Amino acid sequence: MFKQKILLQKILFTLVINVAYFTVYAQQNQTFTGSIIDSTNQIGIPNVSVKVKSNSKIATLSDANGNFKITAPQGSVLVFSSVNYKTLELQTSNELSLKVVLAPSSSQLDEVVVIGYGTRKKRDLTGAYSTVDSKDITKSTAMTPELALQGQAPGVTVISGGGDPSARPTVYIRGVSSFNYSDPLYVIDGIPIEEGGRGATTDPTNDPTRRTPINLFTIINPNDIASMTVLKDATATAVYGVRGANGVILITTKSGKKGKVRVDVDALYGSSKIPKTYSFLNTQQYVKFITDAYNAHPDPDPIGGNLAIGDAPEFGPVWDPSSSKYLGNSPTYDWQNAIQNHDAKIQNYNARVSGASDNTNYNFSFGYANNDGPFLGVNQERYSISSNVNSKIGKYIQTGLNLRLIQEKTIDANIGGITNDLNIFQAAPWQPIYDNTNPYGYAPLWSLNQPITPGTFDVSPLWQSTLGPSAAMGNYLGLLATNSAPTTHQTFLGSGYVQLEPVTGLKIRGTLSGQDLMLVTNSFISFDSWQYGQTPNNPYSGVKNPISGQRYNKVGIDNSSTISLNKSLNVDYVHRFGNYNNIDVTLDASQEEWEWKTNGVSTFITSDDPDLRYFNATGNETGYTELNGDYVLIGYLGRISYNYNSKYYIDVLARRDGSSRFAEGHQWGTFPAASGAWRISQEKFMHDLKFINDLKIRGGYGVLGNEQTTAGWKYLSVESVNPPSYNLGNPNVNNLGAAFEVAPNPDITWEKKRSMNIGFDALLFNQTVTLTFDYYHNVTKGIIQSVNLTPSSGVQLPSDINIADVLNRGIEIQAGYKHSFGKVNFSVTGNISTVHNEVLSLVNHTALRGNTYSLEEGYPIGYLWGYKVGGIFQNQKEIDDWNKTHHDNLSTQQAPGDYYFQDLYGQPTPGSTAHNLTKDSIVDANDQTYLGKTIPSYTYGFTLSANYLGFDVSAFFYGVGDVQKYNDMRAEGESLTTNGRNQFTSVLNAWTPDNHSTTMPRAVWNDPNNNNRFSNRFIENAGYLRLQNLQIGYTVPQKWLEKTKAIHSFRLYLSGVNLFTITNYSGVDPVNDAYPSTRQFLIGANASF
Amino acid sequence: MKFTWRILLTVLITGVAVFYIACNKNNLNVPPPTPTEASYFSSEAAFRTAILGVYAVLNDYFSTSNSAGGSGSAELETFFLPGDDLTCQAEEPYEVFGNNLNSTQGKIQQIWASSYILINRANKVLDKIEKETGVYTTPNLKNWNKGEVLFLRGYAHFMLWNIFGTAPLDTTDFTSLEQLNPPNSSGTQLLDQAINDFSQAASLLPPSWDSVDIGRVTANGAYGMLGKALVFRATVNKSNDDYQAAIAAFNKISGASLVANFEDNFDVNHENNSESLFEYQAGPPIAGLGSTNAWLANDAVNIGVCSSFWQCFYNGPGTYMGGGLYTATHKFKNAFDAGDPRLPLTIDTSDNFILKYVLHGDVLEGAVNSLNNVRILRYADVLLLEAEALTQSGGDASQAIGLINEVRTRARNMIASGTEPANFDESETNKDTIIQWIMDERLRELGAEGGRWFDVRRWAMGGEITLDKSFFNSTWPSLTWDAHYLNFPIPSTEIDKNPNIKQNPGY
Repeated sequence: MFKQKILLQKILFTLVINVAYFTVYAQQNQTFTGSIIDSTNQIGIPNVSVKVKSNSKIATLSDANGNFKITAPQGSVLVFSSVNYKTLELQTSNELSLKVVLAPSSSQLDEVVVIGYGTRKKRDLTGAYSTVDSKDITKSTAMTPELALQGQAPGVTVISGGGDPSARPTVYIRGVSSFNYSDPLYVIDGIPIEEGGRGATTDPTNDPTRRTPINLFTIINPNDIASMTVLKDATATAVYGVRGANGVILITTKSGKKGKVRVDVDALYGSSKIPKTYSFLNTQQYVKFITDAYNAHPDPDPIGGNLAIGDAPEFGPVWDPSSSKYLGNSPTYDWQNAIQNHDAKIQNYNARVSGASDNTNYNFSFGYANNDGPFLGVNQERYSISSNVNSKIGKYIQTGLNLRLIQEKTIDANIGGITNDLNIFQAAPWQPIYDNTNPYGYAPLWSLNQPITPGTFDVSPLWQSTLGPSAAMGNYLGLLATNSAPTTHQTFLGSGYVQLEPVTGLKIRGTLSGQDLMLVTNSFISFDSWQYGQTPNNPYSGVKNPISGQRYNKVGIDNSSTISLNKSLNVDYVHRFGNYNNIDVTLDASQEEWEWKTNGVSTFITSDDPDLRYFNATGNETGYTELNGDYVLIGYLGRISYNYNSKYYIDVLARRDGSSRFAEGHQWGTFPAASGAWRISQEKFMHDLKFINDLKIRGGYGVLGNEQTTAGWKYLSVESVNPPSYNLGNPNVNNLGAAFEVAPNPDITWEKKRSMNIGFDALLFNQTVTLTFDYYHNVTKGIIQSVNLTPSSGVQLPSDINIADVLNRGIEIQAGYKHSFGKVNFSVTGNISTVHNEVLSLVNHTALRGNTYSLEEGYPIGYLWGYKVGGIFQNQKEIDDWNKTHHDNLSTQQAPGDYYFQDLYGQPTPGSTAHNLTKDSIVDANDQTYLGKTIPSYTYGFTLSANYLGFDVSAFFYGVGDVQKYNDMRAEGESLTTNGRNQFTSVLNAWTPDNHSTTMPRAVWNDPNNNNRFSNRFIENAGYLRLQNLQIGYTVPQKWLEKTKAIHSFRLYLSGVNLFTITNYSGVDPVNDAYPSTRQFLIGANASF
Repeated sequence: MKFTWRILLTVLITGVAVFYIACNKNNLNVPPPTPTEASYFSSEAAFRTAILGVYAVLNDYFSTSNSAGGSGSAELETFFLPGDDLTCQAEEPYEVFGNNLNSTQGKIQQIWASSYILINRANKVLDKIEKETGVYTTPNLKNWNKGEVLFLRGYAHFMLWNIFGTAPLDTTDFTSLEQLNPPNSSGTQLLDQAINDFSQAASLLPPSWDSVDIGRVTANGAYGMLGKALVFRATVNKSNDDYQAAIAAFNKISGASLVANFEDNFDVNHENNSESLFEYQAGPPIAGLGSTNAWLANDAVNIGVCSSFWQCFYNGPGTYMGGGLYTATHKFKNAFDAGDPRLPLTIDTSDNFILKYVLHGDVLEGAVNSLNNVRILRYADVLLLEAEALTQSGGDASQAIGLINEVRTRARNMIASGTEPANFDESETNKDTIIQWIMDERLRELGAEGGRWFDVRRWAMGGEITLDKSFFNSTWPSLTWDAHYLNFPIPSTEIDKNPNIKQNPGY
């Protein structure tokens, strides 16, 4: 290959020298003959267009063997072009026999894709991969890598965690293949990231969990990412076998490129706010509403008759219009407005120094981000530094070190169990927010009884008698002023390797990598915060021997650390034999160990000094908890990849994996996979189809193992981590007890996912159109589900059981098109993925019913399950008629304006959970049915972009379709029965004798008809299309920058995030009702020096 | 030569690395962070702790917090509110019955789950006791422990029979998923099991425990519950043998006596007294741990709260879980003779508030829970049950009336030269009259202690009384009565999962 290059250069050199000489001569026709060959394989290239540059009418094509013949004027410049090759211009001379070597054009096919344990050119892939490169990542302005993936990679569903900068998005690849834990595996520069206690914020097996609700991946600065590859099918993910069943997201960070030292600086600054809030009743409307609701179902007077609202124990005199304290005279307070941070800022700054010499490349980066949430008190601040160095030592040894340190401080919207979000709309509108007489400036919920002495605790009669403890909303602003609970994360990721290459093509690499994730939450609950809480909590409660008048503040610290150590040895041999046979053999052995520990302790301190909020301030420890879970995986991998002449491909691999999460005898699993590809466009018979530049057909099948859905030790009966206790003795002493609360399942073993994928990749119409299509069909067998056993078993905690088979199938299409209209370059790329999710079988075919969801054969995982509304009774006659043929077991009183619900089924036959299609005229639990699915049938994203001179504009849309959602917020806001909390203004349209609404039932205290049972009343279509990002940029022309001699490139841009959403969903946000995704306006700059 | 060295070195390094990384399969055997069941039961102390874990489920019945079967909610409603002694200020389905008393009611689900948790823990310990060899060295301790566990298992079956009637029977340790989804029991199977367990327990248990262990069940407790369960079965089955067996069991109780002061039965300072045969041991949190918020189950640790829930009677801040207080029905109040000293200790006649257990407001902890023990079985109950058994089985009527009078005499004697309640005429021979006396005395003596519904239920089942709406004397006009309410519905949490179980008729 090297020789040919020299040859070509020689030819060119000769030609250029001769140009001046020959052009002097008069033009005569000469006939040139020659062969055109591929620089990579020295094979003749057919169908190459050969033209004379000055007169394009003189043209020919090379024949099937790459030979051509053309007669052209002496001294002509010949242009050789073919879609898959770089166009070559050749100045002719008197040399009439030409050998033309064309290099393949650097199309998308030459892009190098990071796959598990190695890289490959896109043209050579046989499995299902999606990639997102740094350009798209930076453009998304997302602060975490998963959000940068949203809508960019087909098959990947990313559901935003809402407006909190540190909230966890939900990510799944190709549907939900397991019940508990469907998160993909993230691998950053070869280090699998695993967080202890992951899988659920409340781990039912180890409650209380110490995993915070904070997203681990906020630790990664997206600007450091060079590319993300999503591995989707069995051959792709099998290399990560054990943990790859839910798909793998490989994150590769930037490394230095050859050339001068380069400095990149990125800056981003902007504002963030929630786009919409709820419309709630003002005080007058609210008081009237509740009074009407009470009067519709008043409390009986023990003496006879009914009690007036002012006399009812749960209301009281403030509801009596004749009272001087009548609530109807109070002003309205807008809590939703008060809790928002109207000045929420987003800032993100990064600097990167990179470069490479012959033997060493390096990349150092530093990042700082500071993001406010849309609600007061929410913030995330992140410092990140990283270093990536690779160096060749001598001829045979290469070594590298990749280190990453992240320090982050997060304050989420939660203090002491109260969350600062739009649920606050439920605050009674007369509930004051601020109070000048209060030391902190916020209105207390409970009357002050100062100094508070132990044992006395006065609750404001107003609050108590009006609303009861459950109706008032805590004053979050007051809590924020008195309490704090910041979480500090410190994350260290590191990997180092040594690679030997004793023989060309044979690489032996030993890698040692590790992660250390530390999370520390320091909480401080001020004594004074009791007045803002929504439950009456004596601030002295639990204090040992409290001293009268002495203030007790509570400090707590919760730690969580995950330490992992991964050792792996990888042998890779690449060999080429014959002319066209390429073989790549990989062997890998690895052991990964995790140690997860959490502990928490709290105590009371008397000091208010913010600097003294630590333990030995007074030292009176009140609680200590510790949990830990260690975990080991061992895996072996063998992979053989063979291709013939980049035309026929076959990959075969096998894994053998062992996990400590299963009992001996069930620990090991073997998982094979194979895939093949055929670049059909390389076949001669395809060469006539000129619009096809490249076409590859792929297919693969494999089995993947998954054990992430079990927390470990579920095969053993272990003592409960929360011991029960009982009092005995004289004097009474509380004694710890012991309980074994899990039914062990010794047979628990690997979930096996059978994954099939067929697809093609095409490059069409002069490389202007790219098209990738995939069909996948995955069946996960023996899904491990944490099952709450039937209560009569007496087993308290769920058991993990290989319980079900689940199917996910669908198609993925990714397409791109680009075109230039003069100086305007236009491109559109888009993708759509579909998922058909279905539970194929369950143990004993018995459906698993939750309160509002269900798992049932033939239905998607976790579908919405409840009653179906029939309609609203408009008059007593309708009620009487209905009751002639029906009976509603959940209703105690029916009145005009109440719903009636559909009788759909009868009592199931004993031994079965299947619906009995014979109706029994009784509306009861058996009539609950399918109401909607929570996994969208399709998700799609598309980007439109254009540039003109230095200006560029791009718009990225993201959407999901065919998905239903229970609108929890509307279920509260239109409950029409309210325990004293506020309602949406839409309830003003409630059914009344004068307003015969057919959609909004009557307002009635205590809901005697159970109108609020879980029904399709609040289920809505939650599909949407969102303009996720609109960006307009300007790149300063190179020639201006050249004058500065320092700045290499400079781009300035404006970006708008979440600008509009098209949806039928009635809430503020189809993704998150309480904490909607924020709308952001950002200004940013990228510069390199 | 150089080439060979390179290859050799490479092979050597690779070999060592592979061996180091992959050949130690023992690395997969990671020990769990808590003791395993297999290793745990290796000392007498471990058995004691595990048995305390069984007792601890009593917290679910009588305390508000951290209910293992649910969370943060007393199950008292399910057995305190039905019956004719109490009425609630809020309209509760357990009082008014009707459609809201359905299988989705949380309290029904909780008491079901808690009962089986208790049974499951008991079965496990029982299995371990039976299989152990050489762990017990203290004389008799093994028998005593076995007796305790049997007693507790029997008590849970007793509760299940009284609340649900047809709940499944469960007497083996749950070791395999094959044991899931048992069918309903029928008739008095649950009661039969309780009787078997109480009977065995009575023969194994000690007459008393050391001072550090006061509160653990004794032989007297087991004989008392055995007799009670036999009387219950006899009421339904009309079995003379059961009445006789009950009398025999009661007669084996030794050393128990009525306390002079009726009030001591509800006084935190007189717990575990001579009248008390078995009580739930409420108490302070574990020293040093402080108390956690009794309203929440999700506190940092769920140990430390072992107190009974008496806010249902206590007019403290807030009402019962946002509902209302339990107050006496007029029937209950009017059941007393005006001068009965028990009346002012039972009911505040001005507002009908119940005073039992909360007469001394100082026992409330955190304004929610109480350190005051719940007297599950006291000797007065036994005396009246024995009187009933004697009367029903055709025994000596005057002896039976004497037993009732023993209870009345204690009450009367609380006031020096008191006259009320006067003794019943011991020459009365009309069985119905005597039974009515017993029924009324049980209301006066034991009302508002959580046992009234169980009495009413068995009498109704045995045809002794006829229930109708007026019987309950509720303040709620919405109360509807139908005989199917005698068995509460099997909770939906069970029905939805267990295909072999049938809902009780009428639900």
